[in-house]
Amino acid sequence: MFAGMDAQAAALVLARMQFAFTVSFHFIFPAFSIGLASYLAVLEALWLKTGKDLYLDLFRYWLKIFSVAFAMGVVSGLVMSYQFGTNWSVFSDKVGGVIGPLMAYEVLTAFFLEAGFLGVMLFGMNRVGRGLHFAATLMVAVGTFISAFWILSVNSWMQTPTGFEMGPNGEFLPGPSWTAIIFNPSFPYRLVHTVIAAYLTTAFVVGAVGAWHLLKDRANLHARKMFSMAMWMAALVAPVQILVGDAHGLNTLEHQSAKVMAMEGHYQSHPDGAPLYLFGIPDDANQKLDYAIAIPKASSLILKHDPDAPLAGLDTIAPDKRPPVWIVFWSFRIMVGLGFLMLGLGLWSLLARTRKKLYDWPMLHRLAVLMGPSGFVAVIAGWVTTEVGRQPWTVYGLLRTADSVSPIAAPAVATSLAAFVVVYFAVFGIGTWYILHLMKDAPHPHEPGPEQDERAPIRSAGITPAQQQEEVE
Amino acid sequence: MAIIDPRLDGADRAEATPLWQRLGWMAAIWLGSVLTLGAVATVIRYWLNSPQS
Repeated sequence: MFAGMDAQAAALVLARMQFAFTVSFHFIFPAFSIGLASYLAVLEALWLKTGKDLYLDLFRYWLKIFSVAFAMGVVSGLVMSYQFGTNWSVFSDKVGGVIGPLMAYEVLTAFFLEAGFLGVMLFGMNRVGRGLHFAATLMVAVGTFISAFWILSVNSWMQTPTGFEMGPNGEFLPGPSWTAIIFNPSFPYRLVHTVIAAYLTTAFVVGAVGAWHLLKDRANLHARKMFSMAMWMAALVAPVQILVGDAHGLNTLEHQSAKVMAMEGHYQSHPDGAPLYLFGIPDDANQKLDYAIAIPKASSLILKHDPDAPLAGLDTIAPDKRPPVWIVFWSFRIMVGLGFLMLGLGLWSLLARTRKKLYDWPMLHRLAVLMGPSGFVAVIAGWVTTEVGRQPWTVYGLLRTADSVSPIAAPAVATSLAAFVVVYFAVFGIGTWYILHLMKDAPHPHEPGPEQDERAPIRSAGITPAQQQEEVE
Repeated sequence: MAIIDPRLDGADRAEATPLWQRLGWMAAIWLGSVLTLGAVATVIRYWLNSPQS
């Protein structure tokens, strides 16, 4: 892979691999905790509104999982900022004036809303009471959203930079309006698409856990409730996500057309309507798609809403400004394919629900278990699509990735990358194993919370609290 | 001072205490959480800024 490269080129590739590895690992946890924080708020609200302890049991069950996922998200996130200084110092130096304040807001949010109120969520129920505890849960849910807001604003600015001025040494400086920087053209689309993706990721994990326990005990009320809530999300939100994704794609076509060309596998321009390639093997060397299976004119229909509309291809982009097609082409198909599988599961669950068989179809439950990790795969595939698709730029059209890297030695980056791989798989492997261990047992009546109430009534030995007899639908 | 029924569960007992006391607990736990994270961040900051790192 590194044959024929000079030392600086090898260091650049290794620095990119390191960032890709760490950000992919990191992204798993916020993608889960953003949705889970909101799910916890919904569960607690339902508990307060209905007084049914089933919701409190589910809240306590998922709160333990949330706290582990949140901690791993914080730890893996620290490494990202570390790399801005070590591997990407030129980038930090040039764009720090613009993205620095936005990232600082994200850190402040994480500190003062998420981490602060997480303590109240975990340890405060017996001290502050139900109402204030719910307020803390809402603060954590809002905090995760605000964190996502700032980080995605930063990322979107790098994709569609606006509102800046160039300094005398080529540095990016904030212009007269921060609004133009924060609400750059791709930001609203990316924010909505990513946050919905996080909600769906969580829904499919919750659905898989519910389905897993339904396969073991179809009468388990807690599993029924989890599965039912998750399948409502799949049925209602997956189609919305597909529409939002389409709008995001049209925005990308307007501002980053080369990325869409790579996603579509359009090496050549199509003046009379472009085909939609369902399958193909991209050949960057010869700029063609091998073994292509295509629907004629469908790409023009989707992207221009006209089957005969002309679509430019990568042949209109200078060779040194083209993204690598192979990765973008396939990561995009993985994301879209999983999106439609999610929709399919949601629709199947709707059918089962209308026939009053939601808890009685083992094949549906097995598919839901299989689809449990699908949200994680989809968000990473989407992230790869958008990040590799904007290459060779860090700030699109203005600052090249090759000009953003620190003057670093390849062996040093290789060593730290190897250390990251070992440490990440060890630390986050243990964390993930612990989360799966928590999920292995079904939530049950009187689920213990993170804080133990030493003065709670002690139940007599041999008396097991009965399952709550309530309607789950 | 109000007498709190020992048979109540934790949340019920908390709600039997005055609001100012519960708000005080909320502020204390919040501050403790922020300070804990701040301490961890400070350790990491010193570690990253140390000459040998």
